Amino acid sequence: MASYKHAPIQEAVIDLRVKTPATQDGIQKSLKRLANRYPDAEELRDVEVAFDNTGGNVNVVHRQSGFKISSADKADIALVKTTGLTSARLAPYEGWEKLYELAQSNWEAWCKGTRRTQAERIGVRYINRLDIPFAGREGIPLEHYLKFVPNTPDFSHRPLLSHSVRVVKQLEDKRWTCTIISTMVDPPPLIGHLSLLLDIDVFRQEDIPSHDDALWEEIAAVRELKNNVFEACITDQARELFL
Amino acid sequence: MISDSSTERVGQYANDLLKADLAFRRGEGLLFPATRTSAQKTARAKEDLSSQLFESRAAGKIATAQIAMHLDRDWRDGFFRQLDSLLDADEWEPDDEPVTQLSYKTFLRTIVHLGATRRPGIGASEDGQLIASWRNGDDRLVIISGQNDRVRWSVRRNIDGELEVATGVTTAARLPRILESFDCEKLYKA
Repeated sequence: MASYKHAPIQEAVIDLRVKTPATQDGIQKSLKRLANRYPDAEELRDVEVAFDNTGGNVNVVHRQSGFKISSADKADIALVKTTGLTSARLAPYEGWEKLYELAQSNWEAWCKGTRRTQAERIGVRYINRLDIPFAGREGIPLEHYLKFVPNTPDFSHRPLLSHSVRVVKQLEDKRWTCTIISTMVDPPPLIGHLSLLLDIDVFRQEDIPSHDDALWEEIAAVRELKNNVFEACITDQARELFL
Repeated sequence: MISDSSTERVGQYANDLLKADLAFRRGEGLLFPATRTSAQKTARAKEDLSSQLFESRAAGKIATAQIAMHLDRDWRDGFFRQLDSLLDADEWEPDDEPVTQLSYKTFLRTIVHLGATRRPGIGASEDGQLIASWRNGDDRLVIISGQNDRVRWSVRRNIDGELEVATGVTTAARLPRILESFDCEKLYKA
């Protein structure tokens, strides 16, 4: 991705999941190590609903799955779970280097607390939002901004009111897979704008290094992969929005 | 000059505006519902004020993160300092409602739509609406952000030696056109 003055990144995420879930005690130890950076914490709970198809009973089980912790300005967030660690940065985005260093440091704290190190999935997800001004236009042709749009049959000249497209595709390096979602944000966060989400998730679930240095080398390499996907998805007219 | 540190709960001018709007509000309860029953007040008093103020500060910062790519970084950081000061438990009137998420949302949408690059002084109404005020000498602009993009505005401008005062309720989308005739950009643009 070129260096844009107004990067459209709403959320940037580095996510690592482990083979063997950690214990709650391990999670607590990790939280202590991360408390300075993320002073606010809230519990995360999974809800499991089981239907008994003979008697019609419904059984609901709440299970603590970890914690969502956040910085004082609420822009840095981490999900500390038994199954792994997610480090995220909301807008304003401060660049890949900062996110990468933060995620690496968080991972070190998580591993020391939980005594787990072997990741089984690594992923880098960038949720971009293109805020496009209507500027007097009745509708905005999506293809002027995105190269990844729904192909609708020609039954009406009226503008699209909403859309959602999702594709999953392997990258040239087949160890990496990419999920791309394009959809409209309704209602748009800005007045007089159409907002399009472009959600890019590049992940890998095989051949994951067990050694930390090699693991983070692989994650560093995702930067170029996800940038290539982003640039392939947008037009020059979209790029002008970020200058 | 506008003071960036003017984070008092309700500034002098905003107080005047609130008084002036009382009668207006009685007739416009649907737009800015503010009346609470005594039972509601009692229930609220039992809740932890610090926790409510924390939630309100967090809501303001999370709402800001949604549009932070359109804000100057210094503006954002300064606004967060103002929020921390405004929603300080030691200074807060226990009967007042902390600023609501919907009010933050309207405020931030209004700021971006206006292109307001000069940070306002902020305060809060007793029913949890964020008050933004810009001031330059005797000239003032106050915007109170309700829910769903509804805003109450008030302008005091000295134009060619003649004092003009106006107030009204509109949508955030319409606000720039309304303020245009009062030449208010000088107040909210750096």
